[in-house]
Amino acid sequence: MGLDFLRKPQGAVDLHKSGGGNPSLSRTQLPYENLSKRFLVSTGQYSQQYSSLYYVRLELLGEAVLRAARAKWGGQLSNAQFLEALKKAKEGGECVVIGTLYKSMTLKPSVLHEYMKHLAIEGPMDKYISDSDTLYLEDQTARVQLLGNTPPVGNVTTGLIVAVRGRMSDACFHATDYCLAGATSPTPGPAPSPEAPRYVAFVSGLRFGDASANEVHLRLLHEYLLGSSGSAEQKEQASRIGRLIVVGDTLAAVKTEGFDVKVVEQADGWLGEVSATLPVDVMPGATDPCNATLPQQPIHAALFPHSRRQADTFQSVTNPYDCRVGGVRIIGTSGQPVRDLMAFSSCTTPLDALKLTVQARCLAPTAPDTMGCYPFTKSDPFCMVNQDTGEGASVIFSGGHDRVQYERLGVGGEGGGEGQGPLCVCVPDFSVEPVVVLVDIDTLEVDLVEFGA
Amino acid sequence: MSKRMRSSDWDDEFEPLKRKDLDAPLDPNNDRIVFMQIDIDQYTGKAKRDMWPQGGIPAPDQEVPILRMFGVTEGGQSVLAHIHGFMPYFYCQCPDKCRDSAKMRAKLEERLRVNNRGIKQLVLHVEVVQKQSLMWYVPDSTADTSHFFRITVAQPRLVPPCRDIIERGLELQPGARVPTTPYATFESNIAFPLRYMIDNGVTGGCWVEVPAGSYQVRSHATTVGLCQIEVDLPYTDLVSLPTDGDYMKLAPLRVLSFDIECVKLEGQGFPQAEEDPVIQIATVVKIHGDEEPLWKAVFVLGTCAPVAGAHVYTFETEYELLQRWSDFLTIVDPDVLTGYNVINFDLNYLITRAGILKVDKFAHIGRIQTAKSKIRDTVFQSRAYGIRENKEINTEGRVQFDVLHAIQRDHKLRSYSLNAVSAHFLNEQKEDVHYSMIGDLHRGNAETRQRVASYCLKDATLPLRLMDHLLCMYNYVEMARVTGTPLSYLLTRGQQIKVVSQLYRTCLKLGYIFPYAKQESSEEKFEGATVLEPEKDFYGEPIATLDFASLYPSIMMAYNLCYCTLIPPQYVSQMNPDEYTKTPIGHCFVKKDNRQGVLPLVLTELLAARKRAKKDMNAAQDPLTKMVLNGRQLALKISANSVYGFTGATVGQLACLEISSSVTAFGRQMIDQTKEHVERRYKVAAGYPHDAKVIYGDTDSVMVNFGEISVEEAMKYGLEASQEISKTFPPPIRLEFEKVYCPFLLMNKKRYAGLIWTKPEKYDKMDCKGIETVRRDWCELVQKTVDDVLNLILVERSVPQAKECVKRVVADLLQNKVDMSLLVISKSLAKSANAEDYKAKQPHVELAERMRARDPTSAPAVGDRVAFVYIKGHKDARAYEKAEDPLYVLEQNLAIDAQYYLEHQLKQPIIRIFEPLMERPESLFAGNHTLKVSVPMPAGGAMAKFVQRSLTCLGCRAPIKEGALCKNCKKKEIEIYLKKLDTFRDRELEFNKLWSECQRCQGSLHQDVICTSRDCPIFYRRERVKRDIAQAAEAMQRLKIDW
Repeated sequence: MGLDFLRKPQGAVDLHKSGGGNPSLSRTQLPYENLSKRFLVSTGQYSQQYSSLYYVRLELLGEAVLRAARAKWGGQLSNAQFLEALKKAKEGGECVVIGTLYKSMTLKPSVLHEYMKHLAIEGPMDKYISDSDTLYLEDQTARVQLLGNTPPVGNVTTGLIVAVRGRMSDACFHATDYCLAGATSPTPGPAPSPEAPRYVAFVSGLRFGDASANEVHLRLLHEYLLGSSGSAEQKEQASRIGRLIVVGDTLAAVKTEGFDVKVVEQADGWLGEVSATLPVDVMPGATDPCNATLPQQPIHAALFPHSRRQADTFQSVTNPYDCRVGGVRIIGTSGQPVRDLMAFSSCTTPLDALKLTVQARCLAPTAPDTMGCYPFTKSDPFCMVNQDTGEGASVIFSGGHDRVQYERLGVGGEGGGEGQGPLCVCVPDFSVEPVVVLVDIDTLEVDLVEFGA
Repeated sequence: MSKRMRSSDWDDEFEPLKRKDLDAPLDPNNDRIVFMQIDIDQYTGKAKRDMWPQGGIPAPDQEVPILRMFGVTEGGQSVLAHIHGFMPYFYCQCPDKCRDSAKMRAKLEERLRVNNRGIKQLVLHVEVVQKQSLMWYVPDSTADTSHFFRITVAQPRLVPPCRDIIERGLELQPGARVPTTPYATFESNIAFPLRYMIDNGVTGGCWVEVPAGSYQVRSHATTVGLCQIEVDLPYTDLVSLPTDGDYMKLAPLRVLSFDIECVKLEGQGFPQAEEDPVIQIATVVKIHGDEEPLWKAVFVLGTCAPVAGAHVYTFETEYELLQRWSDFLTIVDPDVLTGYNVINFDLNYLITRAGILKVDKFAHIGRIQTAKSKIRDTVFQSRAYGIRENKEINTEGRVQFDVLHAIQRDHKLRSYSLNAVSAHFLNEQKEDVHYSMIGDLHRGNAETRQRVASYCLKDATLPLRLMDHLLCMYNYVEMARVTGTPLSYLLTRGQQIKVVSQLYRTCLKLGYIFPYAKQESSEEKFEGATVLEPEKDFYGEPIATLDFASLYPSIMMAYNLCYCTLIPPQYVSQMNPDEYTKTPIGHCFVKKDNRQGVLPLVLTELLAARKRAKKDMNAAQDPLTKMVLNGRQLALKISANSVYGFTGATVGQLACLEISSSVTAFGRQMIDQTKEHVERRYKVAAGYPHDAKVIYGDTDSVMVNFGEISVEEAMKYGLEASQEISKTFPPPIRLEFEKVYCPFLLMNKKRYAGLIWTKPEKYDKMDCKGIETVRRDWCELVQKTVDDVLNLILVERSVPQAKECVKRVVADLLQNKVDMSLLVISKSLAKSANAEDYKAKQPHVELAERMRARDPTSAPAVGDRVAFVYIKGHKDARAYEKAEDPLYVLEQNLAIDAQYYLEHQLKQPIIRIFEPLMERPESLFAGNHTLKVSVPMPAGGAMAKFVQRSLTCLGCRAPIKEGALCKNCKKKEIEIYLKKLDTFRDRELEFNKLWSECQRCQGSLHQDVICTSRDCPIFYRRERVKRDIAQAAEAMQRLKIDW
């Protein structure tokens, strides 16, 4: 039985070192720390509005953007030309201004139009962009229209913090160049472990009980993770997975109406067995029985009556999720912000959209404009900057996509420090592409394990 | 960008706004000036000898009236033409056959002299002319009715006293009597500029030519106006150009729209111009025909952060602000001033402020340097528009076009707030900041003032967008052209002036003169149109509709009904019955062969012109030409239809009930004839599948049920019947077949609904008549439910679904699930509860009082609209005690009086719909779905103190000691959790959608939403969701188990 084969980490004896003939393997152990406290919304206060969130975001990221802007144009422009506020922009003179982008879009769904028209409105669309979209830049002091297609209107969305270079003319800002804050450089982890490779596994969209779920694939995945089937290399590889992050859409079929206990039992059983030998973090996703807007709170314990008993290895966590595993910072979402970004920009691949969030240092730039989120007032937990620890994430992931994609970024602006930046991973929906993504936390290299056909 | 600058900088700043100068100076001998005239007025000045047409000046140094015509050339230059030599005149019957014009002149001069000493010669000229009175056809050839004195006087203002003198009786011959005919004078009641326009073929908004060699250009020293071109010419030289071809277009008119913000300095309530300053003026200038505005500017008192896309000018003093805005206005030199309620409020406020601050040059809003704009209170009363109190402010040469007034005239809406109107036409909401809030923002900093600025700017932009969207310029200019009335009359005067202008013009052509009748209000009523008793039912079969095309105009044309064809009863016996038509109610009108009626002639021309305009419109390629022609055909249609109303307007210039009552009598007869004809002809006995039945008829249409046949067949019969029956009526009366209703729900007189088919393949749209009013004393829930129900009945053809829909609404209402904004009723607060003549207690007035007691700063003031909902009161509570502020209701979680909404709002309209469909429609309001009632727990107040909120199980509400669920429900934990979760998810999404929408709408992400637009469908939902989501979050919290 697989359960006997790969034991819970604490009971395991490390056999790699001994290198003896006994092929019995033990599970790699990875030190772990949950850094997601800021995503827990416990107060449930709703008397506030969204403006504070924008305010905080600009405060948090404005400085980083300014640094990036100085790095980019510092040689060409004087200090005085980097304006501290938008209202200081005067007609004529060249300057750099920093603010939040607002994209005015004719096709943007509007709740108002829903109310004003009696009949039902068109269903959701894949893309809401059109040629008539226009950009505005604003801060606490003013809002100006951006002309010059810089940044290109299609490439960006509302909520991004940018620096724009150009000049005011006829009460509009004519932009000639722009920059984002740029990706943070990952805080180097401890020296590569002699036990390398050590993996964190990502899987998304298990969709227990859903028609699209493939039970064969689910079983194969189960067996793989437990090391109960497959080749010796596969077993060896599986034993080196120190943590599994389930990136959303696990209980896709659980709905209020016609609630089916069997679905929960199935998922719970599966997860319970896996977590008996491997630490598992379950993030909620768009289709899980969880609150709808970001941050999504951990899926209710009542839905995992069996797994929850493995208190030390099974965890229901938030979405977004932030943690440190084996000394490496990992942060990501179940994919909603990336999909929203794709719908409201010309980004065609999830990776492009994910990279944009990384370069903008904001996990969910379109929240709250086109994507729901809690009205935070004192913080913007989506910002990837100096929060809690001040360190940069090494792995930034997004789940539930139609294909697997990943790329190691550069640091700072585009092109800077090739291959030194964080790893971006788009985890595919398992029911669409049955793939588990393994990230080697020492090298930030990616291995894919496929279960198809 | 924000600017604070030195005086000289302003010229540079405003430079791009200046009108383009002519390429070369005018050469009066070789250059002609062609312009579209937009305004004509008159002043008194010394006669200019060289500008006087042949005939010479009446007396040396005589003060004479001079006309001023303002306009714009094709190149966009503004023009002012002084037109000389045209003098006021009118007619009177030659009394007692006396044709001694010298005597008449002397007599009048003598009598007038008593009160007019300053003028050398009062009555300039009297001559005897041959004319016909427009009133009556007098067959008696012996009666001398064709000789009139034409009396020319020195000043327009002398006409009324002259008229009075003549009416009282002039003793031209010994023993003469007071005139016996009811009409002593003719054409003695027409505005002088309009008189000029009529006589010279100038219509409102037409193009005119000042030919080369006819004019003098004024030198810089002698100009009085602010126009680029200022000339003098004799009136005989000005050429009016027909509005065809190239002269159909509109000149590049400069339209300036503005909006002001002002704040109360001390105390509460709305700012008063006498005390409280103007803090911002937003102005948008657009050249008619351009896509984008030429200039957007906000003038701000105090510093102000930049506003996207606008020029921001900041000032330290209100004085400076007003002065610069006035400079700005002069430089822009707008042809049209617009805005929303801009004349009565904004302009009035600005001029009053400028007066108090002594910004002297400010008050010259018009184009005449010396003319000070003054405010006069006027009351405008019209049958069509009711009584309106207005401010009249003179702005010589600039047309005032208040978009509010235009919309009030042309559209019937629930609300005329700029917000509601933009929502209706542009499908867009507008931030609405309460005026008490404006003060706080103004006193804040550059950023808060910027909020006011962008808000103010939007209020100045929207009227322009509405004008464009509703094609106002095209439609109003065309109306002015078609009716010949000055543009400025169209929004400030009633319907009658348009008919008068047209009648005068036709009279002039035909030699008739228009009698002056004292306007006397009369109680006399005449029988209106016919309405056949409806056969109330729901018809699944097609119902063909036969319509008389332009019924009233065509009756007047067919039977030659006019003032001048009406035979006085005493003369009828002298005439051969072949010569006249006797109307169904006994009035006699002479036939066309004897005398062509003026009204039929006017109508014929209007209808022919409309036909032409429609044809040209369809043929036109250029979209601008299309819009002009569409405006024209609309104007022609409205004009044709208003002629009948003119003859029946008892408070009018020339009411003639013989005509109007005859018209309706013919109409009734025709409806009856049509019914009779259809039912006689389309019978089973005659080989048709069914006996046809006329199920309803109203004014100009008859609805026929040809039986259970296809829509296509019904169309065939309808067309055939209309053609057959048309033959039985004299032309141009024509019965037309246009549409089939299928299905058709006939509820009552003037109250029906159905799907319209004009082609057999697919219905065009739903048509509802007389179904729930747009009045604000109906809440929107009624409107919405009625719409939904009709849609289910007619489109889905499912009465059971419609019943379900009603039951659902009833249940939602009883369970407090209906959105508050659907329940709001609003009334304008005309007077406060302290007013002396306030007697019967009214809900909104009482509520305003209560709100004032709670918070005087936000309570509605007189003139505001009070929005309220009915809440549950104590057992005997009166309606006025139960009205409550919807916001307060949300905050306090008060219970809506569902019964009130059922009984007094929903029930009647719904029952009317279902009456033809089911037995006892009242049953929709009783039964199982009404049993579940939920009443919210009040948040505060007297009662809440006695109610202990004990912990209850989230599943079954049983009291529990701790936790979230009772023992029983603990077993169903997941189910209960998921259910609560569902609610929470809905609330989360709703919260996000609503608040992010408001954030967008206000045009700023970084600032809190402060909009309090109660007209916006979001407003109450937004408040409610805050409470609902907090409640849902609390339940979630209780169900959460620590990990």
